Amino acid sequence: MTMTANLTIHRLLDEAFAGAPSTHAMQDLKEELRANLVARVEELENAGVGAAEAARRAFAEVGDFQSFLDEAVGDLAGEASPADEWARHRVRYRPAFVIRATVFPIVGALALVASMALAAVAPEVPGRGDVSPLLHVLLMGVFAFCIGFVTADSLQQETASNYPMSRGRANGMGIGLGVLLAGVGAIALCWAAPFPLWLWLVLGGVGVVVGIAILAGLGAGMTNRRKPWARELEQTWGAGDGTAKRHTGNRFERDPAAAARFGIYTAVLWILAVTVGVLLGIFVGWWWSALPVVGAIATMLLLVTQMLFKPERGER
Amino acid sequence: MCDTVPGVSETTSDTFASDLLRGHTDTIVLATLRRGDRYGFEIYKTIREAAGGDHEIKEATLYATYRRLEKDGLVEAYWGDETQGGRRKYYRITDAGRAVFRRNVGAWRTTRDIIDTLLDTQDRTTEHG
Repeated sequence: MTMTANLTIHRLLDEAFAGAPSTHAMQDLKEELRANLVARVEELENAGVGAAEAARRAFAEVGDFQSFLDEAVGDLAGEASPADEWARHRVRYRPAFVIRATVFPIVGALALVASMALAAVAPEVPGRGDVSPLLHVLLMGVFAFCIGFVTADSLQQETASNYPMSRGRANGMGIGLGVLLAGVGAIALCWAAPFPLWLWLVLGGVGVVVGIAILAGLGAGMTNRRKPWARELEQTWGAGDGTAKRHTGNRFERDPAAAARFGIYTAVLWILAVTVGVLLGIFVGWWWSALPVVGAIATMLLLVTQMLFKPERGER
Repeated sequence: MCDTVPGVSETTSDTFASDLLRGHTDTIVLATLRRGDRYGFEIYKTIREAAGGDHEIKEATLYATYRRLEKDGLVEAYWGDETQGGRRKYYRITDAGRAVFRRNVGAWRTTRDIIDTLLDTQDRTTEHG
């Protein structure tokens, strides 16, 4: 959809909702309408209708919009009940995820038990007809994969108390945990065939160290920036990188260097004012000594304005 | 239905058909949702295509219907996770919605039979009278 059509939809919706109360329910309704209008405009544009005309026509086709809106305002007046709030924030269960989260840990646990059991009964030198000594290694791998997969999968799910993690980071966490568990598994199998003790320990040690390094790296780099509330704040207070950002709070509390600069400026200003005042008093007359004090107060007020309320350098 | 009756314009018969259609908006919306979750414009489009463009239910009427159905627990709404073009609000029919749909379809069949019988009776009366 073109930018013109998008802007026209925004404008028409803003006009229509101008008198409506700014509640969550009304915002939801506006968002729902917008998505539907966008779909209709795309359909009209594909049929060859101009952008602005498509937006206007889509809007007109909705029908008696005003009476519907009035009705909706009446309907949604009591929206803030706990039940409505619960319904608003509820996250739906995803059956496929529930199945994955149940099956994979069970498969992983079975693989772990089977791996340890096979390693315990495996002969030092496998004879003909014996189970391959690599089978318990493979099963340990299956265990590590299952747990790693469930971890990555769970972190990407939105639940009632958790925001979904980005896919890359969640997969990284899953891989980190999988490698760590594979390392621990290798150490647990160190007494068994087919590798000598030292090789098991080296493989296990490498797995544990790499796993911990991945998890520690990802853990240390975690921020709030992808969470909806952090994004909302970012949108409210700044228009993105490189453009003007407004901050809440006192600049002096946020930026100690600015507070220190202000202190030094003030000290210099008053030292000058007092010195000039004394000199004026001695050489011109004591009545004149008040003049630098007035000048200092005015300058200090201007300094406060300049330092507290002007956009900070580098953010303009 | 398409026969032109003297004194009754095309527009009047269209209005009559549209009114009939509008009277069953709730059931029609439930019917479209039985085939899968849909968002507002998809529901509107399904109805528009089924009606062949001759009759339509306005979107404003449909929004009021969604709200009513949701309030009565016959559908539940959830937001899609589209990353472009704004989030879409999808509707999904509940078990209660399916039950009401089946009941309404039963009632519709009975009513349709009664009306068919009555109209046939009337036609016969006119023919014989």
